[in-house]
Amino acid sequence: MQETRNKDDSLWKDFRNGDDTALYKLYDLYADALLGFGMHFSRDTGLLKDCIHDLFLDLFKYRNSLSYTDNVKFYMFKSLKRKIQKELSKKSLFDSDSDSKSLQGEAVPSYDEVIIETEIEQENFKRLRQAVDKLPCQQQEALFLKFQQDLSYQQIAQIQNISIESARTNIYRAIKALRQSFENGPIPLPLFLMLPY
Amino acid sequence: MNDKRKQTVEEILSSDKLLDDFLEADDNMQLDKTGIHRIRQINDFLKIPRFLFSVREKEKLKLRIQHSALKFEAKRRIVKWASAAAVFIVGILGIYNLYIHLQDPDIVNFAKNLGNIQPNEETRLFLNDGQEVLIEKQESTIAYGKNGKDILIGAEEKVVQALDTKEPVYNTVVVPYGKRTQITLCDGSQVWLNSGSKLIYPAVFAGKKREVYIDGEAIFDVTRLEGEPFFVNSRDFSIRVTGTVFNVSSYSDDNQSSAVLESGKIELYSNDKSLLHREKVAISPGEIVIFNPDENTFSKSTVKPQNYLSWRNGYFIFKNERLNSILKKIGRYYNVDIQVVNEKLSAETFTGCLDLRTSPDEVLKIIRNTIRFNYECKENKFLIY
Repeated sequence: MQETRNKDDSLWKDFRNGDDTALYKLYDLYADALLGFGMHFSRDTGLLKDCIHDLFLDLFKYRNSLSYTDNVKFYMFKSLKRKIQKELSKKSLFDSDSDSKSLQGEAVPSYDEVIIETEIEQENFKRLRQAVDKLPCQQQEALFLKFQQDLSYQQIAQIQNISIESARTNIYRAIKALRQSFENGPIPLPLFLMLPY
Repeated sequence: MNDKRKQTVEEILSSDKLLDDFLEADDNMQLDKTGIHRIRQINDFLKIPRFLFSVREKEKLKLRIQHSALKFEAKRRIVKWASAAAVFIVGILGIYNLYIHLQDPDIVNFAKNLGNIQPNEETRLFLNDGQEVLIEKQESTIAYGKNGKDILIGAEEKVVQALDTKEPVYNTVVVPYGKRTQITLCDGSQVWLNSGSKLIYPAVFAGKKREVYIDGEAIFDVTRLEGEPFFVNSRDFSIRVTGTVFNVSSYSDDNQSSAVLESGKIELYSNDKSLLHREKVAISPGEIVIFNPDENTFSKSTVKPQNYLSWRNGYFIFKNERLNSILKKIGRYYNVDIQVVNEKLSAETFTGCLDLRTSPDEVLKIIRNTIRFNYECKENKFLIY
């Protein structure tokens, strides 16, 4: 983790010093994560792509005035969130309910199915998927930032604009809800125990 | 059991490393294997990215960003170059403009070089070839023919001046105190020149601009000619006219200059050229503009124009006008010196119509009917106390 952090920082430094390729390396590293993060706010991939485009273009435009940021990832997530929210508020002026509709409804392309092999695990993952989808948006976002992006509570709190305590509570509640999803489930516990780890 | 688990989870959550710690935990943590396994499942699940670009989409978006970045870069280069070019062009234009701007109209230069013409008993008309015409009448008329050569003075006297067509020829009329004259210019515009005033004008207007210069007070009734604006230059400002009747008062011995519009439309431009920007004001009929020389600004207010134009018909109309100002006008009209010794008296204001076709003595008597004062007269000098 420290290693990726160092790599980020050196790419960031290179970019600020005028190396354009460093920016595209950062893009390669983070485009997926940024899109995944954006999914918490809107399922409109067109809009998300526009926002990611704008985010990188802004970095390019204002390269000279960019500050040394101790965590590039955190910086990108924070500004992407700002952009998405700005776009959404712009959009909501025209059609107020289209976004909430798109958040429910149709299935979203997901990676889980590809990786998970055993049936039981598939079943469990499906269960977790459903449990996660039931969580409030803010908790989903917090889980994403915490587990997929390894951000600290302090950074999560800053990105979500809440206190550190609230960020902790969100994660705690989310984990608790996910665990409960197992307890109510029909899958026999012993099966889990047999799995090697 | 439930309580304990909650406790543990909270403890773990207070650490930034969450599940790593959790999975490394030994039995003291008092979690059964099922619990650990569940946590691990959750951890695994959460670590898997849920939404992904397809490789193609990701590359496509990257190309789009690169494209925009290049476009932006190219634009920035053009803007840099263009702004440098723009600064240069603006600079050149600015210098040229300044040069044009600082250049006085020919007629103003002529007026400045003319110097002071000694006051005389008669109205004097200076023509091109050094001819000087003296006009004795108190109220006189000077009328130019269209060619600018033939001049009719009064009803009968005819004067002819030679005109060199290449150079503009300026004529000058100087009206002493106590006299007035009415001039008809070659374009048919009429100028009533009040006492103690000087008008400089070309015998024939050449070019698109019709320009005259006034020192003193005059009423202009300008003939409207499309595309040939008329300019009245004076000490403090120049007036752009398009067919109109207005009064200008710009005496060199008066601190204040003003213009009153009866009909049409005029625009005033201050003469101060220390700044690139000239103070400008447009007025509508019934408005007066007073120039404030200290601040180089114009102030505008509403008045009755006939109060300011009435002298043309031989009377003054005053509205709340201070006695010293009234007496100054009367003094100019009759070419007499009137002094007010009493400060309090000079600040008294008057409203009304004053007939001027009598002597200054008679006028003062009329004023004395409304307010008590004494005056004595010695050799055209009146002392009021």
